[in-house]
Amino acid sequence: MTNSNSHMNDDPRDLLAAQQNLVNRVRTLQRATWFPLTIFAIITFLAIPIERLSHRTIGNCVAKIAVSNEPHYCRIYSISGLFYWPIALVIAYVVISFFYTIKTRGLGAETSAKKFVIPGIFISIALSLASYLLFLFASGHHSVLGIYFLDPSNATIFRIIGPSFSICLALVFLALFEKNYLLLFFDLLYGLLILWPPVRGVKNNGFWSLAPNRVIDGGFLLMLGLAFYLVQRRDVKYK
Amino acid sequence: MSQHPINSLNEIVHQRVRLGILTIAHETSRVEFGYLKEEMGLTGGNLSQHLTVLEEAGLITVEKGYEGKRARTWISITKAGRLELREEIKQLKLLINQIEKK
Repeated sequence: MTNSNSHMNDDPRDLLAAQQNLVNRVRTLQRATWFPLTIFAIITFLAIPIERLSHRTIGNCVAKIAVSNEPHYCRIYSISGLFYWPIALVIAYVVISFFYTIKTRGLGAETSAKKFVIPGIFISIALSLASYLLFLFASGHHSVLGIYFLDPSNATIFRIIGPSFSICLALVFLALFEKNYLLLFFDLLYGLLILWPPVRGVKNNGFWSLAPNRVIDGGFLLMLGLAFYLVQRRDVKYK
Repeated sequence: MSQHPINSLNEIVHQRVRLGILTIAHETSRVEFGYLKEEMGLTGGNLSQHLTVLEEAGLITVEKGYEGKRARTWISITKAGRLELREEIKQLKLLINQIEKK
């Protein structure tokens, strides 16, 4: 179907192979996995100063700590963090959507990233709403939240409704949209990184307490973005 | 009598170039004439003929416009085009299965 095989016969196997080859060529050209990954890395890094400077509410789990001498798991989300993440994520999806359209239009094979962007926006809003509701609940039930946080296994729920996991879920849709199964694999690793207790968890109330998690997440996304940029640039060159 | 897959093939779609055009259009929201020409290794005239056949069959739509001062022609696959492409792939796979059984 292309230059190299335009004289082949109409054997169904050849037709199907040529058809699949065309599909792969178009998809390779359209892929821009590095861009959303880089954007997500940027908003993750930007969250560090915002979460550092914003006012935070701390749960009242002192009594429990005095008894068990467990590390603190009592800190509640920063208030500006609650507003920063949904806004930053929605802006990120809009930018990503424009980028895909403009990039692929320039190549002559236009595609819309809505299969990734719409679920991504939905996930970020839904999880932000869950975080907000939890914040409201926690504000009035400090002791309940304190006990909840004191059990590290229960803290998983806070990681699941957090922004990093929202990005992780959205990347599943990016992988499906781009038919990029390598991304799916790395996204699984990213998910483990977010949920794996030894790596995660807010263990103190220091002003920079969320920063290590953000550095890990942002660093992972940035490195992955760079790797995909190099691989996809090579793929397009040898197309 | 069970119908042989070859009888289920749509003659418009079961043609290398037109199958290629539909395949590319299926992977995009719209594809530019120049991209198709280069990717398929066709002359402009030849590609236009195939596009006319597909457009008359209602499998694609052709949209002409300008980007700056440059004339551009964009091709989009229709719902009928998607269905026909899917059917063609299905029939090709059935044919291959039958060939391999023999």
